[in-house]
Amino acid sequence: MAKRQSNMGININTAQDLIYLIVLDKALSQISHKKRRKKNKNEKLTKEEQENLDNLLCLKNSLDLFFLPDNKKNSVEYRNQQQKIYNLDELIENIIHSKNTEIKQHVELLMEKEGLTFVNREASPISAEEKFLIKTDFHGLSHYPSDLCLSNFFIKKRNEANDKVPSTIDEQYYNLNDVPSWKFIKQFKNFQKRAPQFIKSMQAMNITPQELKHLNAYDMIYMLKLYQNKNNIFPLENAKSKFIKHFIANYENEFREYMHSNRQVIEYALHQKGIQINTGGENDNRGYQNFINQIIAQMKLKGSVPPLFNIHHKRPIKDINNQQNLALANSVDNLCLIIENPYHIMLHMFDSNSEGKKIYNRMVKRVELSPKMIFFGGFNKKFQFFQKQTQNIQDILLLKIQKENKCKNL
Amino acid sequence: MQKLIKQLKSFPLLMTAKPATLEQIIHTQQDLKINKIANFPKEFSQFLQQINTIEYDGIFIFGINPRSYYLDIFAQNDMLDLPNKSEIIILGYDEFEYLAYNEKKQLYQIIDKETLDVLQTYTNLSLAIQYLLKIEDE
Repeated sequence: MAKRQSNMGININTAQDLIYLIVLDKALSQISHKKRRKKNKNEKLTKEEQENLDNLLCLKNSLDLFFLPDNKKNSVEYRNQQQKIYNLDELIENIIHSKNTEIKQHVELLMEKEGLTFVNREASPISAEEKFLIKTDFHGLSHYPSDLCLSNFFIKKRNEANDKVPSTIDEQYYNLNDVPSWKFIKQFKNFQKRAPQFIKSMQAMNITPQELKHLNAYDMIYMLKLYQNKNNIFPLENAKSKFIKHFIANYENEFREYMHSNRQVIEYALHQKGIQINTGGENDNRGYQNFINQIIAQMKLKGSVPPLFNIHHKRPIKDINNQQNLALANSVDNLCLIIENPYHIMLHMFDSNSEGKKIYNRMVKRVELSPKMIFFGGFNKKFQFFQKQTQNIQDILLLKIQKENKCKNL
Repeated sequence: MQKLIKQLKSFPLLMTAKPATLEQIIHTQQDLKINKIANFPKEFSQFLQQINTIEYDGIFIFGINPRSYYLDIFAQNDMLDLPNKSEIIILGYDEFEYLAYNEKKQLYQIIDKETLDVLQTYTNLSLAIQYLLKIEDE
């Protein structure tokens, strides 16, 4: 099917997404704008503010152009498109008239119309120790845990460690299952693989096998970091980097295509942030190409989150509710690369309530994304990637055996 | 602080905006005061005059953005539905934690986004930023 082109000379899908980006950014900006002090009390609107309003009005009047329903569409699609126009029209109207409560309501409505569903949060109980392990697995081990979290037993041992020689008790007598929090720590492959390092770090601290029961998760991570630093051991790769490397290894072509076809969206986002980055002029594709190449190189090399994006935990860690497998929180299935402004911010807009109570005291909403979604680059389905079907080796073997059995029976 | 700024400037793809001017900073501080939001310390003002907003590897530090609410310290704090706004101002965030400044206690705090528990405290901005940006302990 031939791509419909807008008057701006860009793909209609990109144009629609650019409109969302502009309107949502303005909507979120407007919420706090009214509370700002005017530089000049007699001045109703600054020149820039007036220009902003004029641009929004112009956009409002031309929504039909960009969201004009295709004649070939069926009546359901036609109605949906018309509904989107009404919503955007109303939202712009509210921005212009600074109706902040209505703005939030319309943002929510717009998200729902674009297929995002809100669900109540489960907010199951999770200990600070478990949460700490999930965070450390996600971000890596860059800092020692705070002394506030370490056990008194461990602090005492640490203070004595310099005066004493390391334990000479053989490794085989150390049973990590005697550490109460090991049942949580071992759920993360990153930590499980380092079981021998944990034991060596205990020996270095002169901790005996009988004393393992006194250690908490913070003590364990502290010892691991200390041991790795002292022995120049390469730190563990965090779940964040692993996810980005997995993403770019499997979706590089799609990501490149997205970045190219959405150049206007990316450049608008950079402009809104006031970033001075040379992405080349309108006719200079080389500058923009270099920008993308640089981003992708960093994603492959370091697993860095690309600029303007963030990683979203589709199910918040409190909603995972699986004490047997905490590592699920940072699994590929639970992570999604998403544009930070406005999409990721919008997903979290309804996380809190005005009382600011602790999350387990309240039922707040969250947006439910598809478990298969791995990339959210805009409301348009073309800018969302879903995990490719992959068969694991066991499934393949099972299929092969079934096929062979079938042949024998024949 | 200068050592950290030099280090930050060498990070590939660390996104920052044009340094904030003194006028912009004063204007923002007045907006915060009028709206009963805690103010940021002098040390952070000096930081903004060199590095205004940070976006790096999924970690964000606020600054002054005249174009949009995005990463703008006033707009973001106004939008966040948090208690004790008159004492605590949020300076940045990652997926799980806020970097905040407690004006009353004159301390930088790392706060859990969901439980709002204080996880770490620092008296020095450089150390607090290093923590948020996951810059290795020496």
